[in-house]
Amino acid sequence: MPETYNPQLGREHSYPYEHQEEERDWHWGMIININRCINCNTCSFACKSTWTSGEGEEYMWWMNVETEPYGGYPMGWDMRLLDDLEQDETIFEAAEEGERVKGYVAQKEEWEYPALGDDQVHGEYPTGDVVESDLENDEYHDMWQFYLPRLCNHCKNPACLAACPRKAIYKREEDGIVLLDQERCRGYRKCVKSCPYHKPMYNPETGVSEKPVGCFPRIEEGNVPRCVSSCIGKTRLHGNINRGPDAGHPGGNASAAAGRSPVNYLAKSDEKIALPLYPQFGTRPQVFYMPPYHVPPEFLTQMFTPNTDEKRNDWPGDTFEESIKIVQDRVRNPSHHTLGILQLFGATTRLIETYTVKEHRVKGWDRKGNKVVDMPFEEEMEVREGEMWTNQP
Amino acid sequence: MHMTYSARHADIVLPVPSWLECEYPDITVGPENPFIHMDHGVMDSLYDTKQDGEAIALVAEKLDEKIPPEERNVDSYRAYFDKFLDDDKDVRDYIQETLDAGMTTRDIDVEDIEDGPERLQLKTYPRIPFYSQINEDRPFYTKTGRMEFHKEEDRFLELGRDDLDHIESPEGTPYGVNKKWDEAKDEENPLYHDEEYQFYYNTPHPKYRTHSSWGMTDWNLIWSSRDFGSTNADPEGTERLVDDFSFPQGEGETEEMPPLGEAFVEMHPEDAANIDVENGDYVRITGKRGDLVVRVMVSERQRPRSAGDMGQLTLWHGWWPQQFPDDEEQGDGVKGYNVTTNIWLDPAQETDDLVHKSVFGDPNISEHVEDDIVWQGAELEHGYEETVWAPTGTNRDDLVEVEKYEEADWWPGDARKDELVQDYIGGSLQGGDS
Repeated sequence: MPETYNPQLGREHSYPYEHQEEERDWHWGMIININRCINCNTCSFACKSTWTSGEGEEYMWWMNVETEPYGGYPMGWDMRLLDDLEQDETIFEAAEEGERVKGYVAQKEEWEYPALGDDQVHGEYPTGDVVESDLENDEYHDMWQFYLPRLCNHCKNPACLAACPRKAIYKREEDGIVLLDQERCRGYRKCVKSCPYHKPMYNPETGVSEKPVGCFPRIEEGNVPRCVSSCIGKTRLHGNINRGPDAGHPGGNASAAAGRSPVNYLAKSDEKIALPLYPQFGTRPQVFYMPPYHVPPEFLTQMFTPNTDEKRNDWPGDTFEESIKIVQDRVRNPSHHTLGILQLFGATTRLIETYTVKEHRVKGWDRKGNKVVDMPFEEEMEVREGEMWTNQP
Repeated sequence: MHMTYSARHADIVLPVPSWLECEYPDITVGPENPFIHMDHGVMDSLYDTKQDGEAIALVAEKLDEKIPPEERNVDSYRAYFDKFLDDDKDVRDYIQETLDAGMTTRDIDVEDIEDGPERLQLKTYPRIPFYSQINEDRPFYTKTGRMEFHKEEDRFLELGRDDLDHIESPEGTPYGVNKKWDEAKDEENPLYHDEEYQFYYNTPHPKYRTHSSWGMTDWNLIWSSRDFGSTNADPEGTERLVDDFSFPQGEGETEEMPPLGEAFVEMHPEDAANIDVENGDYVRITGKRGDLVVRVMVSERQRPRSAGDMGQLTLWHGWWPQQFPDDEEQGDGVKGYNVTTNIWLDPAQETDDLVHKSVFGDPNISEHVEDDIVWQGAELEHGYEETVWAPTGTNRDDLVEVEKYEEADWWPGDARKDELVQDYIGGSLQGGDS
């Protein structure tokens, strides 16, 4: 089986296909700031009403938000796979004889509880003083929970694609979006079984599988996906994850900033602040999460790092638990530059290709080099002269 | 969509389209944000519905036939309601007239809001309440023009409520009810007994809806049902969900649809164990005014009895009574989340002495605005004003007793019972020996 280098793990591992060089100029990617998510599920409903409101799709939530640690759609999806994997073992390496990928098919009843554990906390009901987080002394609040928005990661090593015996799943050349050709699909459900994030789903009415589409018609028009544009909490930023520091001006327009995309800065720069979900599975997911800074790092190390004793990748710190603590601190106390990028979250429904942060102003340009954001860190207050309507309702 | 109580009690039901089906634009503002929006629907009408204006015109025309022509007030109701008839009529002129007559909208063109939200012309952006009063010495909307933390109206003096104070709940407290804390702390609510199974009972607004609207909508119910999941939205299985609700095939048959979804009350695991109740079992909740049977969701979101006084129960506001089971042992036919609760009228509201701003209009600027502004001349008002002095249901907290009613015929999933969950939470699941 061919080997592929996985930078999230800092090592090579097997992948069923000869890896076609995935370092496109443009690749779909998303940053989610978990600390801002309030579990309103507006994203879930926006996605559902856009993509899965048809017959046979009743149970499908391509976008869902689960409350950690008790939630999970399908129920217990990550527990099950973590339990099956050894340390430092990807789902490709763990595949059994005759299989390409280690996985399991979630049963009907496991899909029945998308809001399982909704808003539930972990920990004993406090009877004495409440323990507040004091990160410098390694103390964490004794009750915790957080909201994890979950969607297709449009992986660079997609397990669904690797597992499909019909080659019905493909990664688009122009933007890396992973699509399923329903004309080719025969409903064998290998993708449903192999995706560790359980996002391909089988439609019993049509007899073929479906998977999230990254809102590709909106991407083609230069807009962000529905889950991003509908987010009321400004938790998300979407864009070109592959646009690095050496990239030129978008659309050849010299008046637009060159260099990194804002999502690339948050996920790939020396000031990395966003981490992939379960990189140890080995699929190179392209949704990156700014972890919750109030949650004990042991849980987050399991969820957002390769979770191995030996740390091989280029993330900060000597161990992955250290990586988590450093990133938590960056999330809690963002640098001026990061704070600027955070203003871009939810600032526009247009897709931001490049940006600048200068003093207390942030600007963004789209792929053609048109300016789509130009705003101060803090909006100025406006006071109108004279006798004006009160601000009362 | 289902037959609400209003519809059931009505002699005639005139079906109108939802906002999503209206092609004509509508404008909205809210007190929470400084913008005005204009939106229109996105889909064709389902079934044979008529828009409000059309329905009113048709009814008016029929009624008019009973009146001799010379006695009619309006020549043509169709002309009178012209702006609101059917999709092909343009209501933009009417919206512009409305904008022109508003102090905060008079400089906004209807074309501007077609392109997206516009800022209202308020004193400040963002909206800062009482900015003029604090920074420009304008009067507050009180008798003295000052912020009044002390009220000298007779009613307040009579009730001993002339100064701001905490008042204990009129019912949901173990201490003296409806009294200032100094007195309440040494008294005991006659409903309170320091024995087992008594609970605080509250009925807050739920997360995915505000009142009962959308309370029988499948997507909403699936998420609102929390740990009970889709099975709660659909007790008979997905087929019923598909046939009856998601894709109704009916051609307007009037057969009454069984309710979608089932209400539940949340109870802390410790308290549930005390009365031998498992997740999904039924309990009877009994209060001063009535009782109900409802399914229990065992939930650490609730305060346990061991944390002091009593345990806490939460049953969300807005479930329809059809979503509760019948009490087969002592059924009086009355059910629902609010059979034990009360609407209480604060006696401090029983007065006409209070001066306040009316809901619409601003007395501070009413003399400065032009004659064609609709609230020109608005003044301070006395006495009753809906949304200011009307009784509300805010005091719906209650003391109740709870007993087990029946075991469940199905149990929902529960991730907390998974044997892997402790290793998962501790971060040691992968590569472990579980």
